Parts: sequence; structure tokens; C-alpha cells
Amino acid sequence: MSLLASAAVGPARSGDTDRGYLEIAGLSKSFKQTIVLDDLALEVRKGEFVSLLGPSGCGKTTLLRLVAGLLRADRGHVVVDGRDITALPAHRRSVGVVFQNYALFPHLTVAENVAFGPRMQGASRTEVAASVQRFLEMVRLAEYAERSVSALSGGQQQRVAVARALATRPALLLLDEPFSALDRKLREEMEIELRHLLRELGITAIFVTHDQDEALVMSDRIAVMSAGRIEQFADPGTIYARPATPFALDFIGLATKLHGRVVGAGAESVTVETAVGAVIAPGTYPEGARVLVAVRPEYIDLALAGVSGPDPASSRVNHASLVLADVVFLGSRTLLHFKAEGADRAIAEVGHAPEEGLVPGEKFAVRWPIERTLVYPLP
Amino acid sequence: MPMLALPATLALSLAFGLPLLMLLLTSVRGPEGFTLASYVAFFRDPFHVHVLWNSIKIAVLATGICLVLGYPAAFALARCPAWLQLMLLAGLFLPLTVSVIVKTFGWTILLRSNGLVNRLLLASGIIGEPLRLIFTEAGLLIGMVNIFLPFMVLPLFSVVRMIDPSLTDAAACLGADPLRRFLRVTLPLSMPGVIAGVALTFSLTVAAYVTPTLLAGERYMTISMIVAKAFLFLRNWQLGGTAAALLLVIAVTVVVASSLLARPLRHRG
Repeated sequence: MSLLASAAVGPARSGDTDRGYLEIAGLSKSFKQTIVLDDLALEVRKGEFVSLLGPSGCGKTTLLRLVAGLLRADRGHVVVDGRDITALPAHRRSVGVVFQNYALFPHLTVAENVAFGPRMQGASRTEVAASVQRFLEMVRLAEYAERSVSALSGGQQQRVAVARALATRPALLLLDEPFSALDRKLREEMEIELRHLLRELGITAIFVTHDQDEALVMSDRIAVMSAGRIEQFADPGTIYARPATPFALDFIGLATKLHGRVVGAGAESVTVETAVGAVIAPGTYPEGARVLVAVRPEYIDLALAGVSGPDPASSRVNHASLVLADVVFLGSRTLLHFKAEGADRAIAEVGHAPEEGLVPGEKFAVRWPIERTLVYPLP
Repeated sequence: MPMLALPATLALSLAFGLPLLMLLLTSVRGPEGFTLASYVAFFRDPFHVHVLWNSIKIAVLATGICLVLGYPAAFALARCPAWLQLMLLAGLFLPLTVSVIVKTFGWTILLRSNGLVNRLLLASGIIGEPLRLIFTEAGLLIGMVNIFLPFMVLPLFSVVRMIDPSLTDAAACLGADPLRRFLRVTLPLSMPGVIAGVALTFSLTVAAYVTPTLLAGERYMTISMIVAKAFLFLRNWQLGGTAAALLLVIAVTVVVASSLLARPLRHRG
């Protein structure tokens, strides 16, 4: 631990603990006519694990390359631990990167790959050997030190890439979809393992992914990106429960979505007329406004005999009557897909599906808490 | 699987290997059986040694210049957009379809005292009076480099295009400045291409016959010209066989040495 503590660039500044360890401000980047990043801002705290989550082409990899110094920004600043690195070339930034394809040096052994960074930093022979030993042990590959990297499995190569990046004691670690080449089971193991390792070392890390599950599992905070902008930056729980925009709602998890128009505006809630009837949602919108109403599947209850739930007569519950279209069994839970006119989709999730009675084509009464109803303005 | 190579092996050994063997045998066959007298005689003659030196010198220089020109070109070729790569490769391949005699005659026209090269140099004011280029070592070198450059670029290109560009990014993020990125990553990874290109270009240039004959002639004799002269004009089969055997030894040595050098590199990759 002491070795890594000294790795951070310079001593921590006093009195600015609220400010970010990594501060990105006004960052813009265009390729020819295409704006890839537009006036982007992001603040990451020391030791935090932040995911950049978004579809391909949203600019997340460009942002990563700008922070690494592999691209030059058109405008804006990148500051790490109080040091403005915007103008520095990649080799003087002290920013470690784990590449999507690992980018291990094929002409070097596992140990030589890990030794590359410390050697470039001018470490002595014994220091280099100690670093190699320490970081290979950390990723449980010490016995593979003299192997050729091409003789390793995908998961092992990925661990070498992590060890190689950490061996330079970077001020910041960037990971560009490092799990995308691994099969599902291995990926889930590696996610947990890497998360533990980085937390133990107190490394500040930025992780690029298009996989929402990966982001939810690993992150302290997630920045949901779309079209070169950050749509929402919050902890995974908030991102899931309170998506800030329809895009964030769509990109993470499932939801029932209903288009409608505000027909009654109260002090803290609005009544929205939708294809499935009137829906009450918390929020303040003017009467007549077009809105999108959404509910996460796990909040929707079936009003079946024998299934307990909120009282349908209660004023704190929305209810609707929907035709069952499909039953999707997922092991620990079951998804019920409903047909709903005017809705993109309507999905309920139940932990224990009733053994009988779920016949597609039949009409079911469903209900969900008003406080769990999300509402977004539509243009 | 080795059986599949049998027809080619048979054809090569009958049509090529056998005559070559017989040719080499003439160089060691004397009136009293086996003798190395012709080799001793060859190396005792200062003219022949000079010619041998000429051949090696021009091959080393031409190969060196081809490497210096071809190395960056191979990278440019490997990293440029697909449409441009296609055009450049076509530009590289097309000259190979033209006979070496035609190309060399082209150079004799360009290099003569009122040729394009001299006129350009005169017009640009670099020189005051026409340079003697044809029938000189410099002129020969220019022609050789032009004709044999594709044989350096193609093996280099085939290796360089397999080098993952993200490796240099990775080296940069590990703290390597541009020079060390090249020396520690790019150069070692491109060495198999360098070795293949050098072996191919060297063995072609050291044995070149048409180009030295037309561009340098009697003023700059090479070993292959001795071979031709011995067989065609002097009818001295023993001299021809000896010179041909020496040429073969030089070429084979370079090819074998380079493949030995390349082996440890391939092992790791």
C-alpha cells in the first residue's frame, strides 16, 4: 500500500477535498465536421471507480483517449490532482490504460511486458524486478512470468494488461472495455476481481463500457453518455431508480413507457391521460404538456387473487388493465410482457410467478405506486 | 502433407538442381579428378577479386538504400486509407510486370548527359554542367535501387501491417517517448520484415546481371558479368562454374544467416 500511496502525483492539496481528483471542463473534440464531444464536464473523486456508459459512437472512447493524451482536445481542460495535463503528451501524463485488445507486446514475455513501464520511468534493475514480482502476484500470474504473452488465455492476458498498467503507479487508470473479449462467466469473475483490486489499491479509475450490467456491478458512479454529452452522472442506484432523461431510462434496465398529455396539474403531482387510462405521477408540468410516463418492471404488481400488493383503491397507486402477451422466465424472476396501445412496451417483473392463470391473451389488472412513476417532458 | 510438395520438388530438382549441380561440378573437376585449383586461380587474380568486391559493394549499398527508403514507405503503406493503399500497391507491383531490360534502358535514357536527370539538376541550378551518371557506380546504384526497391518494400509491408497500432499507444501510456516507442516496440516487431527484405534484395542485387551490364558495363564489372563472359565469350566453363559457385555461396550465406537471425524473433511472436 505504501508503494502506491507514493505513486500519486504530488501531495494532496489541503482544503479542497470537495473538488475532483480528476477534473474535466469544457472538453470538446471534433473529427472533420463531426462533433464527437461537446463542452463536456466531469469531476471524479480520488479512489472512485467511474464508468462511462453509452452506445457505440457516443464519444466515450474519445473521452478516454483525450484523458490518456492519445488525442488532442480542441478546447477544454483535463486536470489530475491539481495538475493540468491538457497539453502534455501521453508519455508524460502518468495515466495508465488497459486497452480493449490489451495491446500486450507480443515480442516480450509476461514479465518484460510488466517491466516496460517501470523501465521507461528509469527504475533500477532491482526496483523493476520487485515491481514485476509484486504486480504479477497481485493478478495471480507470478508463475507465468517467463511465458510468452501469446501463450496465455484471454483472461490471463487481460490480467497482464492490468498488471502492466498498474506497475507504472499511475495517478489515474483508464480501462477501455477490457472485458468485451471474454466470455460471460469469466467476465463476471474478472469484474469482481478487478473491482476488489482497484479498491484495495485506492486507484482512481475510469471505465468505458457499453454494457449496463458491467457498469452497474463495478461503478461507484456512472456517467451515462449520449451523442458527446453526459446525460446523467450519479451512483448506480440513482441511475436505475431515477433516470434523469428518457435516454438514460432506455439505456439502463427495462421500463414500461406510455406517451400522454397532462390533463390535471397539482402542487406536487400531475395527472396524465394515456392509452391505458389516467396515470398520476409526481412532478410539476403545465396542463396540456406532452409527457412520457414510465415505470420499472419490478414496481408493477399483478392484481391477481392471492398476490398481495398495494390496495388498488388507494389513491397512492396507479392502475391499469392490460392484455398479457408473453411470459419470460428468467430463473429467479419472471417478466410479463403486456400489450398496451400507445405504449412502446409494458413489462412487469414478478419474483414468484403464480403457477397458474398466466394465459397470454387474457386481460389482467396491474398496479404500481405513484411515487415510482417517472415522468419526462417530450418536445 | 509433405507429399503435396513432391511434384514441385521433382520438377525443381530435375530442371534446376541437376543442371546446377553439373555446373558446380565443372568448377572442381580437373584432369586428375577433384581439384580446387580453379578457386585458387580465381582468388589469385586481382581483377577477379576486385570484381567480387564490386558485386558485394554494390549489393550492400543498394540494399542499404532500399532499406532506408523502403522502411518508412512500408509503414506509410500499412497505415494509409484502404483506397490509397490499393493505388500505392498497384504502383509498386506494376513496375514488376515490366521487363528489367526495359526498365534499365529507361534509366540509360534518363541518366545520359542530356537526359532528364541532368536537365532537372541543371535547371534547378544545383549543378553547373552535366554530371557523368551513366557507366558510373552512382548511376548503377540509382538504377539498382529503383528496380529492386519493391522487393524490399513488399516483405516489410507484409510484416508491418500485422503490427497492432495500439501497441505504440500502449507504449506511450507506459511512459515511452517517441524514440523509445520506436526502438523498444516498432523496430523489434518489424525485424522479421527487415531481415526478409534485406535477404531478398541482397541476393537479387548481388546476382543482378542485366542492370549492371547496361548501366555500368565494362567500367564496373560484377561477378555475374564474369559468369556470362566465361560461358558466352571465353567458353571457359571452369571459370564460369567457379564464379557461379561463389555467387551462390554469397547468396545462400545471406539467406541462411538471415533466417537464423529471424528465428528467435518468430519464436516469441
